[in-house]
Amino acid sequence: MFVMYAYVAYLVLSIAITVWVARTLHNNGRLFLVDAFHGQEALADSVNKLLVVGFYLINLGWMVGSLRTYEALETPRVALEFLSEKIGTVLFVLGLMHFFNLYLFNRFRRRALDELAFGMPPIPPTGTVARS
Amino acid sequence: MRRLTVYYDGRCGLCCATRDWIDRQPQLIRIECVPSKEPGAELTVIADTGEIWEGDGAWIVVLWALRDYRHWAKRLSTPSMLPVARGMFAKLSQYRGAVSCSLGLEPELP
Repeated sequence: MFVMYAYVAYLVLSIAITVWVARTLHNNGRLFLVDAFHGQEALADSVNKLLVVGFYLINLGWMVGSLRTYEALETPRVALEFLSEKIGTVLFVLGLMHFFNLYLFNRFRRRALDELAFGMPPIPPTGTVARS
Repeated sequence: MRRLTVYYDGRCGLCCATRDWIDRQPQLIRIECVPSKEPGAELTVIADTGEIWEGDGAWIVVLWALRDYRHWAKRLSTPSMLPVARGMFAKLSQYRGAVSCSLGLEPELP
């Protein structure tokens, strides 16, 4: 009875949350990427956009795919519980994806810093020769 | 530091396979590999600025020069990991003949 309402509410809420997380990631991840690509803003924006597209595809795919329920949802209570369980899962998956994206941003950035870090190997030399 | 010269055992199949692998890696510092003719020669790395690394620590310097493995070099050279890393390399180096044979790796020098 409440199935249609629950489905619509689920889709609206989960899409809204996904858009919010994706926008947050997009706006705040940009600085990391610009730094990682040594200030090449066009390249950073492009990678940023590609990451967000992947993020949308995985999350929307997940939430559309897990819409179905076999319960009749005959009372508002059951419908609300269905909704909270589904949204909870969506939030959890979004959280995992978010941390995965942060990990990627940080890895790009650390590599960029490594490439800039000239200096000396982490091991002291065992000797020296006269420079030829 | 812009260039490293790596002297490796040219009679060791494993060392030659590793040399080929190094040549395929993106390098932050240019690595030139030279096979050493001395029997049982120790891995030696010499920088264009004059520093020498011999033995167990030398391979970490090689990792440090490779773009994709610099963070590994840093990780392996922390005080807690360094003895483990040195020990592993020493063992691998000691049994490199046997390892080369069992993997079927042929050396470039006779």
